[in-house]
Amino acid sequence: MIDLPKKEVDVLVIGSGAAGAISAWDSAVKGLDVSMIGVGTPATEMSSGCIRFNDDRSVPEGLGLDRGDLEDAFSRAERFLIDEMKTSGLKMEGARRDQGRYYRCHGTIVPENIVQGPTSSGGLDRIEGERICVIGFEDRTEFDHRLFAKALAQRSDLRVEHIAVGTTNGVLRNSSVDDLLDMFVDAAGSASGEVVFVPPFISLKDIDRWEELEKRSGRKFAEPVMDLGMPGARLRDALISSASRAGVSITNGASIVGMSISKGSLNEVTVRSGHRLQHIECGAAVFCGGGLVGGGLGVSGKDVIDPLGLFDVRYLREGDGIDILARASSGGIRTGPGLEAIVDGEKVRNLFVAGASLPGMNIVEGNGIGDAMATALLASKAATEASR
Amino acid sequence: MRGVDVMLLEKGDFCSGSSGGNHGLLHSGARYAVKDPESAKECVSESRILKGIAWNCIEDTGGMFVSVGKDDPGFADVFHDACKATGVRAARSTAKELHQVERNLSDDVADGFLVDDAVIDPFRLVLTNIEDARRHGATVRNHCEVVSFERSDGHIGEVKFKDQRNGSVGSVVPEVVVNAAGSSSGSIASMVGGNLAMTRDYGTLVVFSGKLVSGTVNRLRPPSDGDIIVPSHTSMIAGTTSRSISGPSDARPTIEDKELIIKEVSEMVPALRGARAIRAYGASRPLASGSSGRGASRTFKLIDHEEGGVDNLISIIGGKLTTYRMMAERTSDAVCAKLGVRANCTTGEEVMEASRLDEAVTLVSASQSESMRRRYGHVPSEMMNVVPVGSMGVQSCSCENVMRFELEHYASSEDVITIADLMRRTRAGMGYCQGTGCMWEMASALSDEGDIDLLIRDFVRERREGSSTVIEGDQLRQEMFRSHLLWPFQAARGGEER
Amino acid sequence: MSEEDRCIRCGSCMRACPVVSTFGESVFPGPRSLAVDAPRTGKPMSMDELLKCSICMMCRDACPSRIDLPRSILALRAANRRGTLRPGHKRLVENIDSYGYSVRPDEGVHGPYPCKGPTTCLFPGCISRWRRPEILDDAAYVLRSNGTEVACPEDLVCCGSPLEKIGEHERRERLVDRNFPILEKFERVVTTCPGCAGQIVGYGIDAMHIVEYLYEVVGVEHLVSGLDGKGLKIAVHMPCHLNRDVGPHTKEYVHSILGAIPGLKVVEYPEEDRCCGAGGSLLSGFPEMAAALAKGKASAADRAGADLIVTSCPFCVVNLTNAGTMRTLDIVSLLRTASNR
Ligand SMILES: Cc1cc2nc3c(=O)[nH]c(=O)nc-3n(C[C@H](O)[C@H](O)[C@H](O)COP(=O)(O)OP(=O)(O)OC[C@H]3O[C@@H](n4cnc5c(N)ncnc54)[C@H](O)[C@@H]3O)c2cc1C
Ligand SMILES: Cc1cc2nc3c(=O)[nH]c(=O)nc-3n(C[C@H](O)[C@H](O)[C@H](O)COP(=O)(O)OP(=O)(O)OC[C@H]3O[C@@H](n4cnc5c(N)ncnc54)[C@H](O)[C@@H]3O)c2cc1C
Repeated sequence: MIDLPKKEVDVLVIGSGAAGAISAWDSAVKGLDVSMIGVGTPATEMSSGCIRFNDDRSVPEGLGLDRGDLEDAFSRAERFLIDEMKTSGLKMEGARRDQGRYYRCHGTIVPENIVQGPTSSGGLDRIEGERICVIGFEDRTEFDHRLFAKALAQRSDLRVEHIAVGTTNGVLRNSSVDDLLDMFVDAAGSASGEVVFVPPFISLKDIDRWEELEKRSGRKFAEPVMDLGMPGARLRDALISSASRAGVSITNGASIVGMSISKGSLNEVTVRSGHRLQHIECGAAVFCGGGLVGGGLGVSGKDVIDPLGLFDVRYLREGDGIDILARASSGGIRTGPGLEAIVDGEKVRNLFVAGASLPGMNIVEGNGIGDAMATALLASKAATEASR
Repeated sequence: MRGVDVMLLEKGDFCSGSSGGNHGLLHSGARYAVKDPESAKECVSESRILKGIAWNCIEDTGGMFVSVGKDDPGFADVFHDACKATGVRAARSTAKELHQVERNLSDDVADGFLVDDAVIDPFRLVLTNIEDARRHGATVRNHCEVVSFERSDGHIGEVKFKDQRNGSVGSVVPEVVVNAAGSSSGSIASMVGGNLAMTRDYGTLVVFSGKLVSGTVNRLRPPSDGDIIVPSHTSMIAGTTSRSISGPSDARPTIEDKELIIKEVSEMVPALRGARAIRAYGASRPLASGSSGRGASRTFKLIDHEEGGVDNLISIIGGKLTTYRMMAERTSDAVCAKLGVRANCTTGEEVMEASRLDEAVTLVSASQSESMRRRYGHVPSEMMNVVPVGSMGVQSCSCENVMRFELEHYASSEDVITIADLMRRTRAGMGYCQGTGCMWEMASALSDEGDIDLLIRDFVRERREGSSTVIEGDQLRQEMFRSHLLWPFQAARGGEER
Repeated sequence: MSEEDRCIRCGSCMRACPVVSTFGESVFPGPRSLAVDAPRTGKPMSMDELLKCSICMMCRDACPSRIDLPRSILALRAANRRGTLRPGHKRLVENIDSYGYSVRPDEGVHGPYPCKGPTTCLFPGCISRWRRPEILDDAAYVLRSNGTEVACPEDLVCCGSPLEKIGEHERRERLVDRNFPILEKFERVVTTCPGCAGQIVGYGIDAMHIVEYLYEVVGVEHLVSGLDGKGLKIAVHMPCHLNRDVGPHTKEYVHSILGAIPGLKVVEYPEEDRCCGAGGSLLSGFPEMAAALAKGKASAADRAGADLIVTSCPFCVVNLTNAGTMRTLDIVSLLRTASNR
């Protein structure tokens, strides 16, 4: 097959999860010509959309990043979440808990310890009310409303009603928001709850309807924190929308399959688009392919690998049994000092790595989307400089 | 069935001992024909009986014995003669014929035999027995551990047991006690002051996702490590090993066991080397004779402790799943003799009640009734009571195709208190994702009684124990994915445990 | 280890599936259930369930484990040949056996200009030849007015894509044997239908979809000079087989071309890449389902404020037109309309 016409860009971003999107956005607002190419569902989209920033900087610092630069990147990422996401339609709200800062979309509630009551430490949000109504879809499983309602009901300070509403064959009535709004307002009206939990159902494009829901029913509505569904998809849509507004050219469904590197410098990236290949010459590239779930890293036997076979990968070799989880969490693409990728033992001056592909960034309770974004801002800064 | 008033006490869930930790191979007898002809004969008659009385627990897959490259070519004749002598059907077959049956066999397979092996679902078998026993008036309690015996003058009086549900201690004064505690039989006997010489021999099994074989595949050589592959539902079970153990602390699979098994079984089916291992588990063989390991006979032993100074205790140890009915018959014969009951044993003739149920399949789809038939042997009509009217219901576990109404049906049973109990009954959570999605559904089906935190935590711990020795490749990604999903749950809980 | 064994059950494919999200899992079990779960349980699969997949490839692009689910579904269809086909599929097979085309040739339509000389072949394809002949005509017109003379040999038959979709591989091979010797003589093969483009690439011939040709060979500037969009507001429908089989570069091409036409306004809407329901033999097998998907798509375009939908696949044009709510044009027809001639 003949190759696609060659392309030239200042910065090429690989992967369109949280790290890729903010990195591309950052280079584009600085006036560079940026392309972002990604395929697959990023972990960002599978997440709960509740963005975790870890207070503990040991993982990014362990990558050889400067403390001051890091603090700066973290606060820029937080500002991005408030200002940029708002322009994209998502009103993000922050809160502290344990060792981190958390941002989630207005309306999402990460309840305090739902079982043991409000006194123990736990979630971020106090449920403002005593009478709670939990509404769920009878025939859909993504939000386990029955479990949620039962858990809340085990708390002595809450009175919980549970209403299961029907859909047809599990289809959200062909996704018509109007119908869903009517359905929830009706259901809430038949209950006495002050706070009404509904499954996350409003997509980014309909996000302003949330207020309508509260206005029409006179109740406070909330979404429980939930993975694998609307909240993550909404976050991702907003991130993509920000990048797109900044002028990033976005390709969905193409994948990076090769890179040509010589003398410590990246010259060209090979992309597969359908049946054809394209060579992209770039001033710099940022690899934001994600971690073990997102697909930027893989596992062969017990070793963390780079599925592209391009990068040098770092991981611990000791450990046994279930420890292997912790070991794999610590694996990632070798960089540095700083975020330059290491290929065949050598630093590549204009190829950077960010997000969950970095060693130590797959840790479940530790570094989440926030940390991925902060490293991405450092990478884009470096890429912007290297591409000139 | 013989009119005796019976109580059965089980400390864990039914089938949580060796009966739930084996291959599930319904032996045709071939495996034992050479070394252990007595066992072989038992298998011949018993496997035939079980295919009748417990047909709902058995997949009559057939099986084969294959010799691979370097195996001793002389063994085939020895094997053939031994099968003839013990009445085991074994049809000599060429490599080509064998390949036609199992297309994933190694090219190194020289020749072998087709045999009448079948696959038994041990959970289903035990549950079917329990159901049937209850129908005949037995009292059966799980999660009730026998903790003490009162003994005076060589006679057991009160037996105390602790109910794990609430920690309460109950008691019963039986006329006769049967000790069928598997590998714990020795300690039960010594609790009473009796003595029971037995050895414990641990075997590991590895579960692979998917099916590369349609029937059982055995190695044509004297019984050894890693020589059996059994297809089971959506997976394959390969094993086993043999290691003498002293206590429960060594009773767990090791990485060496697992590697040995994969090395050996992939000589028969090479694709197993790259297959996705999802779990390793194992169990102890309570072997009756003093010898241990492969040399020990697999027949069973019935011990009347009268000589040892306890006049109403009978122990039954050893044997195989395949011969469980025969063991039970001999045991109840002994019990009846003590009690002076004359009735004959009819377990060999009467089809068990649950195996008799007719399907009342109107509410579920064709593919669902297919799946239920695979898992339960039939479509249990009583389960249909909880199917929501006018809908086919919601699927809770897609690895094993389990619907929410199935979970709810079993969750409402007194017997079921943990997620694993629910899993054993429905197979939800046994697939390659190991409950990643359905554990929430299972928790919510159970949460009317149970503490949600505890339910989830116990289940995750239980599954991880089983995966720790095999976790690698995409199964590691799978576990990583699950860990991430637990996060919001942890956050809501206070996040003290990973 | 098979590719399907890599599944971690994240559910991304199920959430991405337009058929599942429109009709529910009880109507269509979804990509994972069919491609990953069913083979594991060894349960017999119903051909009807397999045939409800529109092969839109959304699931393949959504999979973080890079499992080619549509390919597995096609393989299962082929393995399930004993399964009965839908009446529409039987008709399709009969038509191919009788005429070499998946649709019955219409007496009134005359095959396009078999001309000798040109080194570029415009592959007719069943739909644009017999159902929507104006698309073939417009394509030839646009190419010719941009300096490319095309031939359209009378002997070419169906590319084989519809047969591949229902697992009829031997029949498909026979069509390949008829087309290949004709096509291989040309320097370049261009198609109006993305399905044909993908198939012919599968023959080992570098076929281009017309959008690729117009962008890469003709060039946008040349193509749009003198065009007038007449103030039309259009919504783009990206055909699945163009966007995800021929490749996502075509999305950029379509937008570059349309965006450069003076006086044409392209409205943005989130459903642009969503399947219209025509593909994978859904339209011939389950026309009601294809129509429901098309309606959903058309009303999304309508809500976005478009006057009409522009797409680049004759089959999508047929299905979206069936929905009856929005006028739908193939991009070549739009280009011709905009040329004022
Ligand atoms: C199930 C789950 C739930 C989580 N929940 C939370 C949460 O609630 N809060 C939180 O803060 N964190 C959460 N995390 C962690 C968080 O999602 C990740 O750390 C973060 O999203 C990583 O972002 P990323 O951009 O680095 O990678 P990703 O979001 O994974 O994006 C990487 C993208 O690059 C693509 N890609 C890879 N290779 C190539 C290639 N060769 N060519 C083209 N594209 C390629 C991938 O397909 C993928 O789409 C969760 C993670 C998981 C898996
Ligand atoms: C690795 C391996 C593979 C095997 N493969 C096969 C095979 O393929 N085919 C075959 O036919 N056989 C096979 N066997 C043999 C078979 O599994 C056993 O012979 C059979 O399951 C023994 O059943 P049991 O009832 O005697 O013991 P168990 O199933 O162990 O039952 C004893 C029960 O007693 C309970 N208990 C213990 N103490 C107490 C107490 N204090 N109070 C209350 N309850 C108590 C335990 O919880 C346990 O559930 C295999 C065995 C092993 C180890």
